[in-house]
Amino acid sequence: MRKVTVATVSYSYDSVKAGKSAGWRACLTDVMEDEFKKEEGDNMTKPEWTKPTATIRQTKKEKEPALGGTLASVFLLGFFIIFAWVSVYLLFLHRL
Amino acid sequence: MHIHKYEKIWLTFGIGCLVVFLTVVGVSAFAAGQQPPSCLTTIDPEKVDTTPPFNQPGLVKKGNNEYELNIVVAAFSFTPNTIEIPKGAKVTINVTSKDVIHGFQIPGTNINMMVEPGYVNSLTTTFDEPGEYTILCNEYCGAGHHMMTARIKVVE
Repeated sequence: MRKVTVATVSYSYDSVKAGKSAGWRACLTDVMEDEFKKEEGDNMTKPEWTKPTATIRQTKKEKEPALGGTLASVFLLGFFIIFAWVSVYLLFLHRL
Repeated sequence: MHIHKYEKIWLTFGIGCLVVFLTVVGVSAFAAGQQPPSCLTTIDPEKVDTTPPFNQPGLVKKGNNEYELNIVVAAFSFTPNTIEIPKGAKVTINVTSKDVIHGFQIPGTNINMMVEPGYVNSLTTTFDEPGEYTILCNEYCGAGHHMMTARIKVVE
């Protein structure tokens, strides 16, 4: 593990670089920053963006369509049909 | 398969209505005997005048308060043209046509038949209300169609 020592405080280079010790990193001196940059330039491969090949699982729940208006329309039409049907049937029974 | 909550509601509603409608129609038809006018009997339309019971059209008593009314329909008249029926009589109406398709309707009642040449159309009804009823032809049959009427008098 590569370590950088600043005064008496010692902490992981990797964790600082990954931002896990952001609080500490904020406290680093310009000298420390230069040290990092130097090491990064000399020894480390520069990170490159690679397109992920694996399919990202969709964990977001799909939004349900709003069918309130459709339900109201179906019931309006349905009650009209029932009213018409029952009316005609009662008329038929009345005339028997 | 995912079905939306509202879709379940209207599917249940629609299927429920269908079941209720079919049950009512089925019970009416098969338990209560409410059938459409029969047209199972055939007749030679050219020999209507010599084929019983249409060789003597009119009201025939068949039992206690039960009658048979035989009517011959031709352009543009019903024979007989005026019929008297006792109130409360159960009447089986038989009609046939000598020429073209006619209608046989008594407005304000459930009596409504298509009269086809070659067939005897029958319907049984009870006349409970005294008064005069008009028989109409409701199938266009020619130039005199609008004058084609007859009368039924239901008397006490």
